[in-house]
Amino acid sequence: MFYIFTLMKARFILFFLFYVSLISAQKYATRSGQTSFIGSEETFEQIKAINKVSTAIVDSSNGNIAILLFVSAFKFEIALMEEHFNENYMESSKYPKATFVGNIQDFKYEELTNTENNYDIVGVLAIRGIEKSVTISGRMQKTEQGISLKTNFIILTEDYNIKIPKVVRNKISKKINIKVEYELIEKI
Amino acid sequence: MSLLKKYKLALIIVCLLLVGGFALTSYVYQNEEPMSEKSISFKGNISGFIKASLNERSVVVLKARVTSVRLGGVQLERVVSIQYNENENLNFENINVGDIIVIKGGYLGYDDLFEEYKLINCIILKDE
Repeated sequence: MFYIFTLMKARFILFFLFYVSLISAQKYATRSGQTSFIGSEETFEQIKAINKVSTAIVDSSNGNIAILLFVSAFKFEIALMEEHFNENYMESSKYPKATFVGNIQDFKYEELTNTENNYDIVGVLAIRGIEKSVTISGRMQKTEQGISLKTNFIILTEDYNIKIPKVVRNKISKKINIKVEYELIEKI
Repeated sequence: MSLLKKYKLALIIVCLLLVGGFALTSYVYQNEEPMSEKSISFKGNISGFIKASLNERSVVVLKARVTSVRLGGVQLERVVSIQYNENENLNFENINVGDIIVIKGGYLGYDDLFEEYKLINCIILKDE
């Protein structure tokens, strides 16, 4: 119990330190980033949802990036699906947030153009309290208001201990396709 | 007579299947309750809201001053960020910094990145 508490404290301090480093630098941010996923096999009703209130901050001086989203903000077309997602699969009352803290490799703000460039984004993705090191391929470009960040990547349900009941195992994919579309504007 | 009984039984089974199917479809595809009709967990001002221990997805009604306006939402008293309900809300266009508004929305939690509380699916209520 003490070990878990210490671990949680260390994670919080790490996240806090990272956040403080972002405060002092020039940064681009969004409160309304769109994160969506498709988590179904070819079924009659596709399991897909979108979160339109993801927050993200990018430090343009060194490429550090932090993303936070509330799991219960994912909207499904079917309300019952949303309820099951929150209560049975993601346990959003127990694990309300998913976070990503990392660095955009070889990022130089001056080199961003109006066309998309590919970057590797290396960091730690935390879902349901489980942290995994990941490398994501992202596309970035300069926009009128700031920076556009887009990426598509796959996560495995087993990596984050998302248990799928046998009854729906053939409907829910073990690979979840995640799509990120953030329009970051300069944060003053 | 026996044939009529068989038809009767088949008819009852078909009716039961139809009713069952309809009930199941209605259950699965039921619409989410509109924000305007959801029951409220907290009602008050910002300081009371911060002190209250709310669960995620709790519905709150807040009366507070607008401290910034942006596309799709506003910030209240620098500590609460709200996002409008895309379906129900119609009245956010005329909101300006300094206005005191009463909103109803779903509580998400505390955003560590922006250091603010988040509410979504907000609708504006007439001052009470």
